[in-house]
Amino acid sequence: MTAAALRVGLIGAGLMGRTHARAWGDLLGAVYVPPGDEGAARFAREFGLRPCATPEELFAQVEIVDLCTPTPTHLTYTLAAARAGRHVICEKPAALSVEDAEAMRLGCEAAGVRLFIAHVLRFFPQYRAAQEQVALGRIGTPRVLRLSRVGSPPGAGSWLHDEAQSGGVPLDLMLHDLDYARWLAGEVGSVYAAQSRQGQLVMVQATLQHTGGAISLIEGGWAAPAGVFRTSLDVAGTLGATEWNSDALPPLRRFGPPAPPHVPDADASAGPPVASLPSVDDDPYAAELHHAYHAIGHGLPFLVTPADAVAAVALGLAVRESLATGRAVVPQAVAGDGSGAAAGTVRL
Amino acid sequence: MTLRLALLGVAHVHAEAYAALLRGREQRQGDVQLLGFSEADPALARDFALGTGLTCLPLGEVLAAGPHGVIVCSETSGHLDLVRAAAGAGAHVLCEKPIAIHEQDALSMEQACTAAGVQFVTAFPARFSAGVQALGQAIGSGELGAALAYTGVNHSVAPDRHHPWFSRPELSGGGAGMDHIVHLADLLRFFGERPAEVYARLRPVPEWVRPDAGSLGEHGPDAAGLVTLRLASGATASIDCSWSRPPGYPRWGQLRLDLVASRGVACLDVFAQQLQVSGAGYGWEGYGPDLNASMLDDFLRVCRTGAAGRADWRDGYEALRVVRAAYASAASGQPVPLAED
Repeated sequence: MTAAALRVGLIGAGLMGRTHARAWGDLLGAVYVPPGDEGAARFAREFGLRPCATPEELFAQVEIVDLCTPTPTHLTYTLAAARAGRHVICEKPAALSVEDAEAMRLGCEAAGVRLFIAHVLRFFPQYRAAQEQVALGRIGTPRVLRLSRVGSPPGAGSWLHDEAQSGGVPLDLMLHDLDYARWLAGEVGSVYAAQSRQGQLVMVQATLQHTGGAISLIEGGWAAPAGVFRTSLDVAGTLGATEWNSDALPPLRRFGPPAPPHVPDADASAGPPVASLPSVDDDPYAAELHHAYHAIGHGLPFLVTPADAVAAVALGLAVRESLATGRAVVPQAVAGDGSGAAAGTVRL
Repeated sequence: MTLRLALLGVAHVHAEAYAALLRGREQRQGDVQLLGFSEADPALARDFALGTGLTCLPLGEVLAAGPHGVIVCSETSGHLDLVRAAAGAGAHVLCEKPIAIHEQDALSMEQACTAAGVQFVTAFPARFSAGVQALGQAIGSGELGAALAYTGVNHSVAPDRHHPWFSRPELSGGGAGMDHIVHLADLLRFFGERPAEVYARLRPVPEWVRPDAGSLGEHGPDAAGLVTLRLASGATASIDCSWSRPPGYPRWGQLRLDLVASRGVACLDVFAQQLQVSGAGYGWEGYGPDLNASMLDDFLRVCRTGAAGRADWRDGYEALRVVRAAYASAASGQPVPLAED
């Protein structure tokens, strides 16, 4: 099996890098450690990865480059990896402009390498299940979608707070549900959004008019109390509806004495902290990365195409433009590859 | 004293519940006397009389019997004439929502009631929910901090299968937007919020309404609706007013409101108190307090004392203004400012 031979290298040893490293497990072999970056060096030791002092050194070690860096760096790293003939897996959003995202797509295409933008929501089991209900025709044609995602603000000092770097709530947080809405209900003809702020807290409510006739309410915020993260989906179609929200009870709850605190394995320092990880079956990050890995290895289509990722950026930007102008706006047109919205056939 | 009451028009989905509640009170407590009802549609009048045991009388006869209060439950297009007639007869009015199709009709109602010295009460039973009152208190006391965003859901099964007029705009004024924006618009008002701008998408969905209404296609009544409000406080609010639940839904629909505020998050589910009942079918049966009963109790107080109801004409009117602004926005495709009236 050719896939087994592919090696993965990571650029970006922050929070998302850590999430990806856990999900990759043994497939990850190297990480970029910029000179003097103690955190990245520790990261390399913790996960048992070969530290590479330059991106080029990393490219020489691997076939797939996984980008978990702040959004503004995606274009440069992607083009560099593509020029080196390396496939690219890149955290969302692809970029902060349609032009940059398009350049990533075209650059990889020209170099003959694959580009996978990690829209992980499509790999969350409940979102995947809801999409399958739609694809199976169980609820008919989607007509009203409600998608909500409200968490506590990123930690103080996080680069996410700098909207010039992250795109803020529309591009970093709502992007998940903007992509999901487009996946289920198709292209979007107009976007309207309203927001409110209290200090660092932000809430945004956006309405999409899909060209096929559906409407979507996309709500996102960095505004919940610490430790609270609530999401929900509600898709109503011509024949039925499906509802889910994160208040749903987990398979196991305990009452009485609290669970004993987690004690790391005695040899935890020797390897990755596997004991505290979700099992791979339940980890949507593992599901998406293994999907991309498998698709690259076998030349199969991605569940999220580069064109989907570019379109998601256009939607996030449309939310921002509506917030800036107070008007309903038309999202920037995106060159499609014909396999994006409403594609229901790609298997994990 | 025994209060004389009557229903004027019984086309609304709530008419039967009101009749049953008042009938029960008449029999158990004897402090109300249900004179009967008026209804212009003979077939509906016959069915309602059979179903409730009440007597159908011509409007003039009902009013000549001197009701202290009347409940206006006709199609929305008929509210104004009935309210005028009731006011002319000196009866206090409890009027179904939305109180009118257009603001002008609502203003005429207010003039008629003020001139006659009777109270106009808007049927907003959700105000009587303990959860609503507790949330209002939490907001008012400031313990949740400043509001950032409200997310309101009042989606339901289309009511037009049993009450076809709901999807006939000449009688209802529209579809889901007319039917379901007002409750949440009123709760926001009850919580002290004032809308400054309204954006809405209101779309027909032929599959969700009666076939005759659905056959109108793009010209049919709106069945899918998403409304966004910018509030004067700086917060925003969304209202899902859609008739988006399928006929097999376990209940008529939902009334929920989430609030994200600077010091906390609150999730209101007005009809959370329910049993899950399965058998030949599956359904949710509520066991919470009957909000309609609380609202009728309050209306009896109005009839006894002449004091204002929990939700008055202004409340009904302001909710209607949000609805009208939503339809204006849906027509223009852009947000519509809503100035202080």
